[in-house]
Amino acid sequence: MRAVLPLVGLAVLLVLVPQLWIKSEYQLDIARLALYSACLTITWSLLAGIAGQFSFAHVALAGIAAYSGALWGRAIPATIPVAGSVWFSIAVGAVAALVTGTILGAVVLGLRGAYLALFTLAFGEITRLVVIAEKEVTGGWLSLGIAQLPGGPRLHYYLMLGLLAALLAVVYWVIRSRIGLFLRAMREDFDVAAAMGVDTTRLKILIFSFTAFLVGLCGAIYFHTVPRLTPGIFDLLEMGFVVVYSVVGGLESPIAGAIAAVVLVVLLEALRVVEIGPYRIEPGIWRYAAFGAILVLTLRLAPNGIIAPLVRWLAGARRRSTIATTGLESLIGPIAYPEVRAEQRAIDLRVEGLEMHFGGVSVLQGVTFTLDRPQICGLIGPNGAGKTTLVNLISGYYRPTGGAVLLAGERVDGLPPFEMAARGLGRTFQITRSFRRMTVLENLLVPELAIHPTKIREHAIEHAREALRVLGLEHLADEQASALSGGQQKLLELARLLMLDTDILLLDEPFAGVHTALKKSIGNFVKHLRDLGRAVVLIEHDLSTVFSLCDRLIVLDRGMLIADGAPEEVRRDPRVIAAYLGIRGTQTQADAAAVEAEDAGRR
Amino acid sequence: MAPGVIWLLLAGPVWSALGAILLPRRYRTARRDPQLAGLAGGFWGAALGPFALAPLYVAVPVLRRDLHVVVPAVLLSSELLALFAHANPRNVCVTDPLYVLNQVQTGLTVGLLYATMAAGLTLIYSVQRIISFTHGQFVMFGGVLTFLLLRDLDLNPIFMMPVVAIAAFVLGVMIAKFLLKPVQAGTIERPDEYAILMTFGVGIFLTYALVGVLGNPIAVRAARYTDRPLFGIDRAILEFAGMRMRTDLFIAGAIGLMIFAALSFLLYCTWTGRSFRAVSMDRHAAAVVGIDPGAVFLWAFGIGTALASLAGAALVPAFNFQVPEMAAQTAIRSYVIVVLGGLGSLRGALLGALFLGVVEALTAGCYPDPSKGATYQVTSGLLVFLAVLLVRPQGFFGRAET
Amino acid sequence: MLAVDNLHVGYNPGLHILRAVSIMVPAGRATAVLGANGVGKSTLLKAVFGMLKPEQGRILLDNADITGTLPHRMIDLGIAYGPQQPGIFSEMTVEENVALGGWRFRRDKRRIRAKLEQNYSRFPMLKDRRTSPAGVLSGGQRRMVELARVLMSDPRYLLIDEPSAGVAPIAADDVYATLKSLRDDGVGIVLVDQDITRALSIADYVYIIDLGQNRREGTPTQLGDIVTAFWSG
Repeated sequence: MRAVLPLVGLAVLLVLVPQLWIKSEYQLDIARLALYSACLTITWSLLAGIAGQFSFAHVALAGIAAYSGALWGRAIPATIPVAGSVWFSIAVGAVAALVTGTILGAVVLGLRGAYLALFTLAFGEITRLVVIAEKEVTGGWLSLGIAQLPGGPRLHYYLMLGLLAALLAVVYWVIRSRIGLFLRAMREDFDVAAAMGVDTTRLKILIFSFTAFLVGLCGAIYFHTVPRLTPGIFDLLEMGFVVVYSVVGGLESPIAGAIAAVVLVVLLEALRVVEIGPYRIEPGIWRYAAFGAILVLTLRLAPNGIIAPLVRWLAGARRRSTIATTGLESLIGPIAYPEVRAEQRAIDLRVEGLEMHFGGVSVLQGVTFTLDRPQICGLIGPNGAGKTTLVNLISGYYRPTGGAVLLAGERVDGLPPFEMAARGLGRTFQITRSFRRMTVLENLLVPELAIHPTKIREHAIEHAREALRVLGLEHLADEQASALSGGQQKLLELARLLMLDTDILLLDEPFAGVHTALKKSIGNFVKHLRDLGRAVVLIEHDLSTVFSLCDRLIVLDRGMLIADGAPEEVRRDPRVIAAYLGIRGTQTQADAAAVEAEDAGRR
Repeated sequence: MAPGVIWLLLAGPVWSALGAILLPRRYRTARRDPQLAGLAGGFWGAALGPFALAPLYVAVPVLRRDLHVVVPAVLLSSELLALFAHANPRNVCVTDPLYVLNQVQTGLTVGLLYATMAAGLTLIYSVQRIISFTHGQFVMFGGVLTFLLLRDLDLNPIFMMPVVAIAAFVLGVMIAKFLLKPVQAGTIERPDEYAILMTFGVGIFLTYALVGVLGNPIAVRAARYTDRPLFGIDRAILEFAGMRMRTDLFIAGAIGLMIFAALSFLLYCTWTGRSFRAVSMDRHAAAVVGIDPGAVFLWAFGIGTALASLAGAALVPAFNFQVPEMAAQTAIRSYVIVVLGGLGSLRGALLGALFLGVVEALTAGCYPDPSKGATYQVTSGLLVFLAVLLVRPQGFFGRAET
Repeated sequence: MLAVDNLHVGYNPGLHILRAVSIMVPAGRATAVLGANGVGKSTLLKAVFGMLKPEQGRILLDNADITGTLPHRMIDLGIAYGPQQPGIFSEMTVEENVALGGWRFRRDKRRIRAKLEQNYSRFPMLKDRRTSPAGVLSGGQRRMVELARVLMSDPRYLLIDEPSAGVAPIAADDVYATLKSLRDDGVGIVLVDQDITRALSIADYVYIIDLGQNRREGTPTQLGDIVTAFWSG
């Protein structure tokens, strides 16, 4: 933890600031503003940089807390024992922000990316307008007087410093916890996080509530050290500043953002008047334009921020080694299996008359089959037959337009993917989607901790390492998932699914593009899963692998199930042959040969 | 207000909350699709209280979006309007239908210019799936540029339009080329985040550069169309069939209509426009016939920002531009419109814009406290936004994104 | 001659869908690329057309290396492409769709007009539907629109992916008849298809790809009974 020493140094510096550099009360105000900006940046960094929710209502929530506290303070005279104290007003403010943030989180639940940003931007602007309009209540532009915290400006500075330290502690505690892991997974890939068992719905509302409370608390405290409130605190520019600080610092590092905030606030102030020799320039508003330019340039030229990489470099962090990827997966040793503990697993999946229409086109019709024992079931069929759609329906990504999916007797069609994972049905994706910027180990910890919320972290890590050992990936545990080769990523997906510990596994083209040696390994792994009592359904095109590996084959053609049985029978089924060879109608093998001969004769 | 009214006001939200919480639970235990239940419960509860919720709770019927969300929403709106009329019997909107009509007319006229703005946004989106956060700023840019030019030049504002269009086009192309290239080229890991942050940053820069040029945050208004009259139109107010309208507003609206028509012509009758539409429909097929998607993106972004700026240039002789506040407000309006009309649809942008214009005009005109009406104008946009996002996220004409 | 030499290509680095694949497509001949689903046939066409960057290998046109050429420049080289889902502009009319094939010479109105008329005489069915939006057409009709559009620029080579997929049998006959006449007019066709019978009916030379690699090749007669060879493998 070499980072601790410079941090302590920084902390000491900040504590000494009032003694050493501050010459006037105005400068002390700026210092306090710098600390407050750092607080705003830290909380936004958690919401946007870690959890991926780019909310532009953040500063507005702080403002709501400030105004709520102020109005409460005016309504309840200070003479009343508890409720009239400044601290109670602050608490009211924080709670007001919490409630608003929670409602906001619930409302934007279905929104992502730009829509979420737009909506929250609109919310912030509307708040500003309402505060201006309802001037009888809020004082509008005539400003609102607000009760002050006891003590003088210097004490207020130390209070803000303490708040900043506490905030950092809380935020980093969250980041290092399993919630932090889930949040990062949610940002990396929302859908995959859901497939891995993370309750993304609750998590999203939770993070909005939590950051709203934190930013509300900061705002309430800070603004109770400022004599008057104006609607200017809701300005989009204030939000813009937070974004600039965060991006310049490094979106994913709250502390880098905090440092950037302090530096830039001081810089902004320092540039108020620039005296070079005999010239005196007052840049005025242009400083804000410059900040916009800084944001643009930083994003374009240093997308990971400026402070964060700098800090990493100073702390001498070891650069992540890039693995030399050879063409063959020779890095992967033979897969080692622990003793087979055949557990009693209840396999009971019934698909009944499943149908799927997409805008008038029928993709699946009347598909019915049952999984009731451990098996390896191949799902095959020509392109466009509906195999991936079927998997999407069973695993909860689509809702069927007809028919039902029953798991252990209960109807589960339409339940969200994380619910399906919790009930024992997991899947992989055709194009490997891992949490690219998280390490291999973290990729596995997400499903593990999502499914076993009460497990101690050390046990979870041990379990994850064991899975990596089984798949021969243990030496890659601390590498970023994006650095893995294609074949290794496929194995990672399988390992992740293993963590979910589901009874039923749906694998979407696990062998696609994989080298022959690795194919054998994966095949053995799938057999091992079956021996452990699980049912595996795999979509595959590689017919030789399918015929040798599967106990059972289900064949789809143009949305309908045309065969279901042992590979030898299915292989000889004329309808299956016809579907694959594109011979429509009732032509058999002999007929096809006859057509061929005729053509040959013609040439 | 009468106690009965107060009771009614309190009950609505209560039933709405109850419905939104209890109904999904009921649907989940009854093994039926709970997704719409929350919305349906909220709206039915607000509209008809327990009379609607009870049958839903007991019978647990299959919910359809149009039946169980739109119908109660419409019902609720009518109830709210009736409540408004009852509570404000002396409100000018309730007593004077001609006034309402006048407001509608104003709304439609302004709507035409909103349509121009929104068309620019939707054009950019259909070509590259980027929602530009600089759009409001470019509207402001058009207005401020016109204002500055007209301070020194004694011309009718119309003549500033080509200048504004070219300036905005050039700026737009430069932004697309140098700043947004990574998104278009697909070289960036998180293109949507990047696009949001980048366009937001450009927006901040542009906003404060404009304020810097003006010197202070102020309200600008260019010389009116009627101050430097063209074709001898110098009457400040037009009267027609008992309705009165400001000439400036009328001219601005006419300009908006012409720009929109020109845009439609471009998109549907010229090769360039067809290439934009081709790229938005099927990128790969467009490449097969030789259309360069990178070039199309630059053009589309340039034209999109030019449209926004033209809208600003057309509006500034008729309205005050509150610099810099209006940037955010205009931006919000554009987004509401494209969401309402459906991203990627020109027709949707027009209809959505007209709708929003009318809603805003009525809010501003009918709000009980006239001094606050102007402020709540923009708020009504947010409510529309929220409603559309909840009820029909793809808008009325957009393609549903699967 | 359009040739692919030792191509290694995939969607993720290290995951090669195709390994060391080589094919040769002479002008005026129809070359079929057959194989089981998912084996990489579509990937091959996408790589040739510049939509995927190969990790190894080259694409050659008359011995000139054109690897890395961007898709929208392929038309200048005389190469056209028809993907699995016919690439038509669903909200534009049939006429607009076909006319866009002349994008590169769009300023020459007379030429556009002339080529349009040529296409209409070749495909009378399209003339009847010239003002319908392309989105309402059936699969076979869409393919025809796509082919007509491709013909506007007189390509030398056509890469076509599953021309009969999603198309009713009778319409598929028409599509193949068109391909045949294109071949006779001197266009080099690379044809990927699951429908082996039809593919064989017009192919001059066949490559069979299996598990991402060249497995067998030859003229249809040389290959003999493909059906058994292919299915039991």
